[in-house]
Amino acid sequence: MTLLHRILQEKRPLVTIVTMVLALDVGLFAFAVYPWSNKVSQAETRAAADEARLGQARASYAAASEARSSQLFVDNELQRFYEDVLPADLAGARQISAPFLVQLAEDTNLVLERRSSAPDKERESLLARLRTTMELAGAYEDIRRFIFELETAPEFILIEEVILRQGDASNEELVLTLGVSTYYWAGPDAAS
Amino acid sequence: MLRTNLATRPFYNERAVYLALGVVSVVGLAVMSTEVLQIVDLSRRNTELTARAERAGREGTELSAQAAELQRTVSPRALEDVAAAAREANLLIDQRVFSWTDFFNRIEVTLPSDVMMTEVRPDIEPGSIEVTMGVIGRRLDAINEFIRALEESGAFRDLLERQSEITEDGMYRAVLRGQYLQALLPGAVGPGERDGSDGVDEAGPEAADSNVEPEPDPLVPGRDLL
Repeated sequence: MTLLHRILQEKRPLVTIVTMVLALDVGLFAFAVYPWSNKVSQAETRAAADEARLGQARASYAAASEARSSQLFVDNELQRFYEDVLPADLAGARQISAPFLVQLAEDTNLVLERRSSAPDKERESLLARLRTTMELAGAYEDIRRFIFELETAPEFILIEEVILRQGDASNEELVLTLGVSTYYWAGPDAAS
Repeated sequence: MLRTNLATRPFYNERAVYLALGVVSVVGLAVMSTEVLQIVDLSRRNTELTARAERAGREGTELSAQAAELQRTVSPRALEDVAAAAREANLLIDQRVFSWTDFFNRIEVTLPSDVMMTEVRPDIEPGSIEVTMGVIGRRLDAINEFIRALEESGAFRDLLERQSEITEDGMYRAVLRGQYLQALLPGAVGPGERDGSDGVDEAGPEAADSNVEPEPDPLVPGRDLL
């Protein structure tokens, strides 16, 4: 019998306790610590993936929200433009063409020789246009004053074309052919 | 005192055996307590991570649903329509803020005495204003001088005499087209505020004295759509 066998035999109760402690250590590691470590590692991976998906969802929500806000903002601005700036309808546009421009010509000492108006509307556009062509005769400074008054007036009028020629009456007189347009809300095309 | 070993088996150092067993027991117990602490910690972390993942998953699902809902309300077609309407409105506003008074002021200071402007048509696109001008001059040189003066004023770029012809009364008629760089001249004034000595002859328009106020900037709501 070797010394080790003798010690093991003589100290069996103590050795058994120590062995059980060591066995318990190994058992704990094998059946608890190791599986839990794996589980935590998997949970970390899953949490990271879910958080990445959450980040994408947040970005997607922010983009959609931004697009919605922009659309609402632009819608409001457009609505304001259509309602507050442009004439409401053809009647409103006509008011600009007839009394306003005629009166302005009178106020600036120009003689209105001819005036024609025609409405039109481009496809896909929400706005219709009332185009007016006027032939005005008068002095150059009055023509300049007329144009100045026209472009600083609160009415939404666009000067699209200016044609000047020498009048027949005198050397001083010029004839201005002026193409102006105003726009009003017409709504979407029936077909679209 | 008996000094002879009467035992049948040899002695061994029992204290050393107890010490060794004690050390191994202490180490074993220490490892065990560490493992227990580790298990508690791992369990806590696992619970936390699982909760975090579930929360993130739930929140992500909710946000995705809300984003999808928002995207449904903002259809690409609706966005395109709004963008097109805003482009149209912006173009009209750009046309509205084109200052004819400023334009004529610039023309008056550059127009030679024997050239007359007969026609102006601006073509306003986002970011650029192309202007087509009809002019009549006594000499072709005078028209070229006018083109040079316009470009040197910095108000025009890439001006080209598109077409020129001689009229029945021996004058030259030309069509000019170029890019107009709209900006207020230093000290730009309204019509009639110049002294009228800009070299405009009887054939050309002359700015006369009148008490017209300087041109205000036309303020248009919705100026900065999109």
